[in-house]
Amino acid sequence: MDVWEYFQTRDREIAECSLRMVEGISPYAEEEGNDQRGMVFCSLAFNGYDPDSTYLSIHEVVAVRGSGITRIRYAYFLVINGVEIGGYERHATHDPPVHQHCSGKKPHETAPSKVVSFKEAAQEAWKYVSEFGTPEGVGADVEED
Amino acid sequence: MEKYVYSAQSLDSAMREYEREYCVSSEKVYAAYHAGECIEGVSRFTQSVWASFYEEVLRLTDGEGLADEPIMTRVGRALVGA
Repeated sequence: MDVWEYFQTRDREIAECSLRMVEGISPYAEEEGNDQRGMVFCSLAFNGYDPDSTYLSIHEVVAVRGSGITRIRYAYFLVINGVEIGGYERHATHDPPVHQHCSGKKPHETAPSKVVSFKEAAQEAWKYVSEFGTPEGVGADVEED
Repeated sequence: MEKYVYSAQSLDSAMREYEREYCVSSEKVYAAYHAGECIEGVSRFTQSVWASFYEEVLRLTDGEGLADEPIMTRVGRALVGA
């Protein structure tokens, strides 16, 4: 197994979550000379929403461990209408290592969290986007006098 | 799927781009990130990625870093706030 197998899975999950890559970016890379470790780094657009203002930013550092993949680090952050709403992070040198930034009570507030999968983070993000995001095309045909 | 690679050099270059864009040193961002502090104008996601690149450069260079001054020295100074 190498990181590219994992990246293919990530690609599939992105589509399953009704998200899409912003065109022109290369989100996956392996460490030079080591296909057992790699990174994901990109912004994902929500189908039906303006990708310039509403998106999910993701970053992962992954490594092959035995027959599986470990996300050594991840960050999934949601931006709606240009504002970073919050997100989930896992990072061994943080206390607590797995946490979230999305209480909505004050900026950058951190709270412990369970480990979340990418799909869980995406599904959580969709709840916020559905409620607070502006669908593509809304207001586009309105002309001002 | 196109295959790309990253290296200590490419990650270091990305950090320098961040430094130019946000006008703040990587050391300051890294120290703030670990202190749980936010830096005005830098999103939490960007801080997270920046810190990640920083640590990967250290790991790939056995703690030496790539800049003229060893990164570990600069990290140590940033963490103590000097």
